[in-house]
Amino acid sequence: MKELTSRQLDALLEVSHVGAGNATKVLSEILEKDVRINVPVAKFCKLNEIADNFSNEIEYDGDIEEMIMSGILVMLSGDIDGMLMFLFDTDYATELSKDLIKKYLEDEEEDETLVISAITELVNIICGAYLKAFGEMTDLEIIPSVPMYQQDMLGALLSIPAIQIGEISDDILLLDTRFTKGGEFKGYYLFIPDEKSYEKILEKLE
Amino acid sequence: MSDSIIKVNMADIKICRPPDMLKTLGLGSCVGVVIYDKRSHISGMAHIMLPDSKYINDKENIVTETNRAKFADTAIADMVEMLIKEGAKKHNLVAKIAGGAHMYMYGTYDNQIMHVGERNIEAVEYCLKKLNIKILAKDVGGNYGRTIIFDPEKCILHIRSAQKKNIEI
Repeated sequence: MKELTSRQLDALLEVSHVGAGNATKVLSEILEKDVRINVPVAKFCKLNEIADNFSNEIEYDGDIEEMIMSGILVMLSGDIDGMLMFLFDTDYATELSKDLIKKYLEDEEEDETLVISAITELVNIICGAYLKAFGEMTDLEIIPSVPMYQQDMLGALLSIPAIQIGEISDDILLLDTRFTKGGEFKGYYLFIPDEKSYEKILEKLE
Repeated sequence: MSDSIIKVNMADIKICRPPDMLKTLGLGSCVGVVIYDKRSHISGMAHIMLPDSKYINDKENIVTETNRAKFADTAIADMVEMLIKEGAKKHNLVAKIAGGAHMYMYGTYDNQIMHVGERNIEAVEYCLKKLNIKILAKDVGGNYGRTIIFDPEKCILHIRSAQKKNIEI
């Protein structure tokens, strides 16, 4: 992957920032509570170091790759190809989804399928807001797939994006945006465009 | 030398002798390949991500010196070479494999990348067969992640996952 100049990194960060801002606004409105999404971080790391990023944020007894989390994968198509990978502390994701359920389905019984549906819907909302910002700032049309949910070990959840990137590169650009609650880290999303798409995005941002 | 459990990262190969052990974590669509000398118990483990170093999506791939462990064919070839260098005998080598899950199985998105687990399993089995290395046991496929720990002393592969019972093969 080409080296990115710091100007380019800043441009990518800026778009992520606007996108995250959009997403926070929409989520907070829908859930009627304060959802914190922090200023995004952009950095390069090796494929096998992606999971390590989390060790800085979360206290986990044991190897971080084995931590069970809720993962939601969204495939991107249209003018760019790539994925959005959401990784949440499962309790936090469940809490947000129950807020969503309560808001729209007052007396509905919460079973696991419904909770997963609601988490998926939340991710749809976040994607929509995030990609809207990207679309507006880059004039690129980005189409998200139906989100795919799995609760499993962090390493296993990351294997698909890692393999996708691994096809062409050993370095991954993590454009990550973090969810926090009460100052504690609760979730992440990674924006992972493929190499050609990076170039397209950067062209548009310059 | 004290006992230690040596961690094998994604796209990585490690070799050891008893009483040390080898582990790799969170195998999703990746495949964990263990090859060991059944007499001397010199053992190796690789965590592979992709099936073929020569082609990616029918396009020629550029594989560098540093990323050979990513691919089934080059990782297995390199691991066998490393084992032999360590003193293992080629005709005594056998294998155990795990992983290659279809992650996000209930998603409706159908794309090559989602089937990489199956392709990895096929590639690993093919490469081992070509080298005449018998696969003594395997725990592959499914739709969940696995952590594996290989004990070269007993030649047992311990497998654990989030939802299923721990098993040994």
